Amino acid sequence: MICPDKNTLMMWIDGELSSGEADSISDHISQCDSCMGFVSAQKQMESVWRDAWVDPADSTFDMMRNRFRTKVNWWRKQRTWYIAAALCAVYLGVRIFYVDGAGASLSEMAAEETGAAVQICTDEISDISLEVPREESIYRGCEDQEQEIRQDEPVSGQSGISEIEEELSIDLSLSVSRSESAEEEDVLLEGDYAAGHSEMAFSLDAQTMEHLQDNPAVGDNTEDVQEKVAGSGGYYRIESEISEESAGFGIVGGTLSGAAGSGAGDCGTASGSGDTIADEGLNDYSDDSIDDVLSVCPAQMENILETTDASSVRQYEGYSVSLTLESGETIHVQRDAWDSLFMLIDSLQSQNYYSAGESLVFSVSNDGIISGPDVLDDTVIELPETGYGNSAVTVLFY
Amino acid sequence: MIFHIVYFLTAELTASEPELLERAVLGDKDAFGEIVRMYEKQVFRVARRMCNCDDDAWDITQEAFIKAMKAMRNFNTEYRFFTWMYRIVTNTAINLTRSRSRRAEVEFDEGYGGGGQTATADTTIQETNRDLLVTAVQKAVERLTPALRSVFILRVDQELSYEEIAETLDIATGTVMSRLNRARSSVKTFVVSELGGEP
Repeated sequence: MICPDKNTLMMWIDGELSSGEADSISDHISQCDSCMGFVSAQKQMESVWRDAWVDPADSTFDMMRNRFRTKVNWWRKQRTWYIAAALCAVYLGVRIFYVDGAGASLSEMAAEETGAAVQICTDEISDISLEVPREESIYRGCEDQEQEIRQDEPVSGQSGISEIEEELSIDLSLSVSRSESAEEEDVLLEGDYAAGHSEMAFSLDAQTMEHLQDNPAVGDNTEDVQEKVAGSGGYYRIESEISEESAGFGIVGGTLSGAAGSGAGDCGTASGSGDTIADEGLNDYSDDSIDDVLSVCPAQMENILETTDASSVRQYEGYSVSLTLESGETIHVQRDAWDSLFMLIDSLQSQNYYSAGESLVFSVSNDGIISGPDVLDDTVIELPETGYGNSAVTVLFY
Repeated sequence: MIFHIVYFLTAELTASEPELLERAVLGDKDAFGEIVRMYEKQVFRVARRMCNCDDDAWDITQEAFIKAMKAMRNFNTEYRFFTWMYRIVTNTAINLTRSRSRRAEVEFDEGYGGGGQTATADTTIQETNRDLLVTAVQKAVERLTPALRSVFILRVDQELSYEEIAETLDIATGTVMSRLNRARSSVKTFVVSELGGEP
């Protein structure tokens, strides 16, 4: 009696033989102790291992789904801000830090009368409205961007730009704020979600570029600008070690903010001060609309990616949860009472979605349904009890 | 709110997988959420088998679903979703384990040999306490290379056919068979050795 080879026996075990072959092997195995032993041992070894598996508790899958949903929501929201930051980086790079290569500083620009409505206030936190005269503008750096715009004007008509406009609908009019504290963000670009303004920003860039094509690039004026700005009173984040023009952005509390640099360079670099950018990792943002931004200024985007580092993510120590009833009474909520909610908060905290001092407010219906706020708008947690009236749960991170 | 919950429950309970996939491809995140529910246990199980670490397995599971969601718009609903999903999770797990290089992977090259030579090994396995055998097999699987491990897990644990494994891993059926034989050979050799028998 000739035994089948082991591969054939394995295929028989796996049910991969034709019915005729399988019958033949079955007959053989029933008469051959050696093959029977082999097959039995193999089956036993594999089945005990397979059957030893125990699924985790359903609650852990609930938690995973919550984390997944939170991350997806966060990703979507952050993607929008990220695109906005990229657009603003391009805008600032052209409108503010690539203008007047002869070394005009902000304060000098303020003195200009030629259409420049520049106001510098030295209040503790003041606004500077910039309306840079095109005649004063000199395009510098970012050859890719220059070429792109030269070839494809108007920029706002490029494929994909309209998608960005729709997605962002952000007002890119600038208000530059300064403060005395280095801890404060220096440039606030307040997007008020007014429709259509992103198109304006792009068309402005295009016009500026058009004019700048005829102007020569000039040398580095980092120190000049730094000195002037420093002398104007407030703290303005221009780091002396940055020799290239830079316009950095972060996202804090839904407001675009960032550090503005100076000098000459390739498109500018970004010093991401935003906790959200560093938290999630920009590599996630490979959306088509990002590619559109890249087509405007690839080097700028790369710089943003490279210079955003995780160390800027603030660390969390904990949080408190309180329930404010309809009557106004506030109750401190214990973890064991609403474990599902706490698991969600844990996942938020573990991923550094919120920093110390920030808070989240969930609404609680009389039916005991907790609804997530804002970024967590899909979150629905069912509480074991009902009868809360219309109350709210406040999570304070500290 | 209540309306949404009722709608969600009724809609998802009545939707078949193809319908859910069609909706998910069009960007319906509720449909994708339901798909996550359908496959989360299988995906986690594969991830856990691949990396043998709970924390990593959860990360891999979440990451795999996020990748799937991002790529969902490109998914061709004429193909089998579970093989696509298995591919994502195995690749994610392989990338993670490779990047961490947590443990040395040892691939045993010994074949099974003739029937008479494996008789002792077979007896050893058959007479071993169940728990010891599970532990030994688990250790053996951990020591497989990712390529062999993924084939072994998809066949032995998930009970996929050779064709499905080939589709999942994008390799030829013949390659599946050869890898599976090598993996089984390695596992058995290690298990018998671990149990004190002679391979």
